[in-house]
Amino acid sequence: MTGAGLFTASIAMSVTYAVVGLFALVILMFVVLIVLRLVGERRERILEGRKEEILPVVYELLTDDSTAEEVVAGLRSGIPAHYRRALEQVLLENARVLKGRELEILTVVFEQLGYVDEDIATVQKSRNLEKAESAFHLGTMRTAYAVPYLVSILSSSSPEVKFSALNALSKIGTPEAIEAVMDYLAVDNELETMRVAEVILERKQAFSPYLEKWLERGEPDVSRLELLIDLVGVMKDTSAVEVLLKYLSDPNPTVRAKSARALGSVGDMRSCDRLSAALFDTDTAARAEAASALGKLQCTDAIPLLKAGLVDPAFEVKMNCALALSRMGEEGRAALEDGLSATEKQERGVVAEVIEVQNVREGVKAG
Amino acid sequence: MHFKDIAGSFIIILNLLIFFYFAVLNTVYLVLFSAAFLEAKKYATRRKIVDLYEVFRSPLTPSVSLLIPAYDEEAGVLEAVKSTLMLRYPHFEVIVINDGSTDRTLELLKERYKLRRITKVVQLRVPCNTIRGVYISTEHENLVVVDKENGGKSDALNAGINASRHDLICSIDADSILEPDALLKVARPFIERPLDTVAVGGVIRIVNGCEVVAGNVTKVELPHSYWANVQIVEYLRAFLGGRMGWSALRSLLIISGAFGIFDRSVVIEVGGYRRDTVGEDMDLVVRMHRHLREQKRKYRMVFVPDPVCWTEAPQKYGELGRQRDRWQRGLIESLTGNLRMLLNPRYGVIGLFAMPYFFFFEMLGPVIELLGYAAVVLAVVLGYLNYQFFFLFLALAVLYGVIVSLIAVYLEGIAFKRYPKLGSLLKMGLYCFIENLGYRQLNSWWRSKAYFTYFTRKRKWGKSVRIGYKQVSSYPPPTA
Repeated sequence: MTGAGLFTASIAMSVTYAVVGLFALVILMFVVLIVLRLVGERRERILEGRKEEILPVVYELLTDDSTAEEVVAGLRSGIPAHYRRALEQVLLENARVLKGRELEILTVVFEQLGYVDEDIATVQKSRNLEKAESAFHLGTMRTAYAVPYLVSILSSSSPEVKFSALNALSKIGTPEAIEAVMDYLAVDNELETMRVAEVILERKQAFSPYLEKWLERGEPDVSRLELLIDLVGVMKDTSAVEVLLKYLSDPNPTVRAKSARALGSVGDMRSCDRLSAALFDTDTAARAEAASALGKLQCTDAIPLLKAGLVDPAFEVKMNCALALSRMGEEGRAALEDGLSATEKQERGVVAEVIEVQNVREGVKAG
Repeated sequence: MHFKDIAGSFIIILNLLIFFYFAVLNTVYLVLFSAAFLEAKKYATRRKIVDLYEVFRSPLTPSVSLLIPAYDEEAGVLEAVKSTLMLRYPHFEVIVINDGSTDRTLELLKERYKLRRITKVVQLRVPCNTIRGVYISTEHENLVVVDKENGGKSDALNAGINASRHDLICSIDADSILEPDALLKVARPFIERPLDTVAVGGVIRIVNGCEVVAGNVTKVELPHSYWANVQIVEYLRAFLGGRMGWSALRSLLIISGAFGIFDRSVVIEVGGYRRDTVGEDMDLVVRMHRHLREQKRKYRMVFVPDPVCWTEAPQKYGELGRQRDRWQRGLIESLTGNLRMLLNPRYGVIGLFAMPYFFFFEMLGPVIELLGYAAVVLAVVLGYLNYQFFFLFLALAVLYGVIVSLIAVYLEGIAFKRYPKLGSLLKMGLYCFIENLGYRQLNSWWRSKAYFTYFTRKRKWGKSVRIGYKQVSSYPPPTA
């Protein structure tokens, strides 16, 4: 055989091997797919069956005024040891919805049955996604002594692990847990912090004083500052009004706009005068947010200024002034209707739209 | 030199090129699907630690304007609106844009939702044809209908953007059904990373064969139709494999127009949807990448594999061919309109990896595949075909394709489990083989033909014959 012939034959042989190998791989994939699916389904079926079986026992123990020790004893005697995973899931599901005494009992139950230690061990050793899941469990279990372990994984590179740890710390809610979340928020540069915000809003009463103090101290990072203002706003804590008013004259226009919005959310009439003054802000967004906030607060003293705002050069400001007037009862409505005879077409259009939509909405509410 | 010798040399060179092309393409597939596999695993675990209820009740969850462009959609528009109004999301508005329909689309909406015409100042932030009127529902506070002169889907979407009030816009096809939690899931990346997230895409799945009750998919099953089944495998491969892989590699270039959510301000910055293309969804994403990269802004576009939008797939040969022709034209238009990004390091991984892949493999791929078939025929005629090699290579190509498709079926069967029956998975596995014999070649033919229509056909709404949700409680079997 010539060299070229040998070369061709060797290529043919390699391709044949590749085909055979791929074919075997395809068959193997099929088999593994079926096996994984069947095994997974069977496991799920067994787990669900067990959960259903033990649910009445757990429910009875948790609702009949038993102490934590009695619940633990009842679970140990009434539920087979190999139902451990199913029991954990049932307890976790209950912990998500229970409050007060029942939740306190569950926290002790988790500890005494060894679930907390298992999750703490996982948090310390395992892979990221398992760590995240265990951290999440520790939060649901409200275990105070897990706090140092959760704090230790806040430096993880995985966002899932960090989020789960923060979530857990917030749920545990002890002073050291809350402070750990605040410390994290102060140094986190990724600002994946809407997640943190969710965590904080879970326990807003615990976090509110910390956030207000922070705002009073000041925050050089603008993104973080904006987030803090947003958070304080949605917490609706009236003690934050003074500090928010301070930021209404911040040099950064976005900060001013956010502060106006937050003041509208907090809903304290003390901010009416300053918000009225903000209708003359040089920034469009700040003016628009101030108008919107005045509407939310129903600051009727601002009606003349809002009426004047209908001729603002910016569409958003016009629209928000009109919407604000529509929220201010008869007096506001009368001021709004005056706008129908305005000379400017856009002003007339905005006023007409708001009045017509309000008419339809009131019809919706009435009917 | 004889003609036969020249043709022979040509065939050999062509074969080598095609072999090389095949090797590179499949290596890219392998990288993509491996990335998708890891991403799916990560996502499946994340689902356990993400509480959607927290998103739902958080006051920081951004409001969304859902845009439903409709042209002659009387068969499905009511059901689509109904399913969107039932979505579980804290604050959203539904804007249906009637793009000068010639059927009863607008009348049906007026009757069903008791619409009332209002004065509305619509600011033209992006170009669109004349808006004839804006209606609001006297029954649902968050339903708005914009009636405008016909201008095509992109034009309708632009009108919707102009009429929208919220910071995020979500485009949905009028023949689609969103799952109740779909919006919460697809908006989640915006909640997690509000500063840099600009676009998120969800999964499109095929509703044919499923049971639909009152705007909800209640039972997921495979259809009987061959055409629908091959498309189900194709969609799984494209979404669970391709898009998830691209997203993991930070190179997502397509977010389907049937279900995508965007930062409205960035869409306005790039001028909205381009009105002279049939591939407005891909074009928008490519231009957003281009704009944000040129401005050196930090951003991310994400694909989320869980929120599902169900859509009806064409079940007839002709309709399917027209759809593929249209998609390919859209691809050609999007890529040729942004050629400066191709292999340009200024655009990072998009310019150096995603654009070349889409240009050389997705855009030119069908033509190269057809050339390969032609070369085989020529080789047979001229007696140059080495049958042993031919069949080995064919087997290699088919098996490799099957493996790529099987990975997608794997992801479905293990991580997402939308099809509860094991039989459905096996049937999908079977279709991974079957699609290689006939459908794949037809698809290449349709997509190659698109080059001709690209130069000859005008832009218009790509319409399929819809059966309509209301008349059926269970999807197809096809009527003919």
